[in-house]
Amino acid sequence: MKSRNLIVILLAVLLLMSFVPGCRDNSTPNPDDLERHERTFFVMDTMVDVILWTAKDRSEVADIFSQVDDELQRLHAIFSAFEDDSDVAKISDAAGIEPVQVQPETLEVIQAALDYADMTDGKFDITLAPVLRLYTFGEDARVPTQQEIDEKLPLVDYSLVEVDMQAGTVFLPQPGMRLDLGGIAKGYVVDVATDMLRDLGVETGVVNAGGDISFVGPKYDGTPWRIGIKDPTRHRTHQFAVIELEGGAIVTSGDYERYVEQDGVRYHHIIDPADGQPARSCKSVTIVAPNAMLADLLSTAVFVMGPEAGMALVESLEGVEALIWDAQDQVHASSGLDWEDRR
Amino acid sequence: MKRGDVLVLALVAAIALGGLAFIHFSRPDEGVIVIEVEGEDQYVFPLFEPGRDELLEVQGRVGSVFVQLGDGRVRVINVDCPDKLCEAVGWVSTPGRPIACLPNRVTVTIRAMSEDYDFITR
Repeated sequence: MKSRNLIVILLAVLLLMSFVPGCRDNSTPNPDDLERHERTFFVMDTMVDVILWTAKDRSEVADIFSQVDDELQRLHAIFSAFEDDSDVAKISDAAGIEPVQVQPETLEVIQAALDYADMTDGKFDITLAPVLRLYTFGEDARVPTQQEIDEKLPLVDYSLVEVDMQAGTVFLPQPGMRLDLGGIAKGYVVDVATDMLRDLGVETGVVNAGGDISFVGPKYDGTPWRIGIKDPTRHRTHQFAVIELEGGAIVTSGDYERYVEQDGVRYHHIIDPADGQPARSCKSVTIVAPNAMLADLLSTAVFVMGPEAGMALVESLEGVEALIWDAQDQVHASSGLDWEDRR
Repeated sequence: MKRGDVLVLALVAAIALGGLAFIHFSRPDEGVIVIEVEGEDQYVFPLFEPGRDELLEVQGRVGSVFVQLGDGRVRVINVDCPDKLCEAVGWVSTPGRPIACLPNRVTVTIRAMSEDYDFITR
């Protein structure tokens, strides 16, 4: 072997070595020179992640986060089912006694919930709380008996809720009735935060409340956001679909989020108001909608309605799309949904 | 071929194979583990660090949260809080599902650097 060959080989080796660190370079160029800022807020029993890409300086960004924080804490105090003096708790505590004066935001959310309860044939029902409270998940997990459920079911009827927009009051006429805004208030809060970012002049932003996601504009580089949808049958790691969005909101409801297994049966947290049992016809429902409140309540409602009736409702609504993974592991996509199948 | 040539070839082959093995087995450092306290980033660690098994004590609002850092995974153990939901999550090795200790205002998240999606809805 001549020394010239040796030099060639050594050069090849050098080339190879330079290739190795090259593989590990993950920096992504940012064409717009927008800086990323992120803050997490704890409200409504969940983490709300707010991410901005903006050219604003640090003090302006700090001011934005502080304003968002104030507003989120204010809404938390109004909506939380766990705060004794929240509007929701006050309305529930005064059930069968008297109408309760509430904040305009509470009226707005409750009225919206009642409108959509009609549209979903009562499958989305904010008076389901007495039944929901029978189920516990986590360490003290417990599945109620059918008798316990049957005792509470007569208290579940959204059509009884009396909202007086003029007087600004809400009344639950039967003692024992309770409100739960869990399937709608989180989306509402996400929308408020998203609107605030937009009003404060943020160029690009995302509000993510544990998978309830809303966007301010397309991505910082002008491309659509890509959102992975979790495979409901696999353990945490696998996304079965990717949906691209340039704005709006996306929310998924799944039977794998909170559940307890008893005698080999999974009892999850999405309950059918008709019989008080976990809804069984879907494993995961993803809704794309113009705002997170609508996406939030529809993901729950469609999950309970099932793939057929649920998809019919979605197709009838402007700007709303759905991706449903049913109990037989069939995937249904609404006609206008642009999605990438990763199964 | 002379003895020296064989040695050089063997050396080249060894380096080439070693390089490939390095790429294959070391896994790219494609993410970070972020520990937030009261909503602010407090610690950031690379997701992958061969052989790492560290226990980190983080002070939360209620008490201590112990975060165990492994190679490519993280979990929360021994939390001073009543519900211990974050302990029940166990090891997490992918982005998208943060471990949150709400009473302590502590979250542990894996942030991806190279996935081809930006967020996960679940």
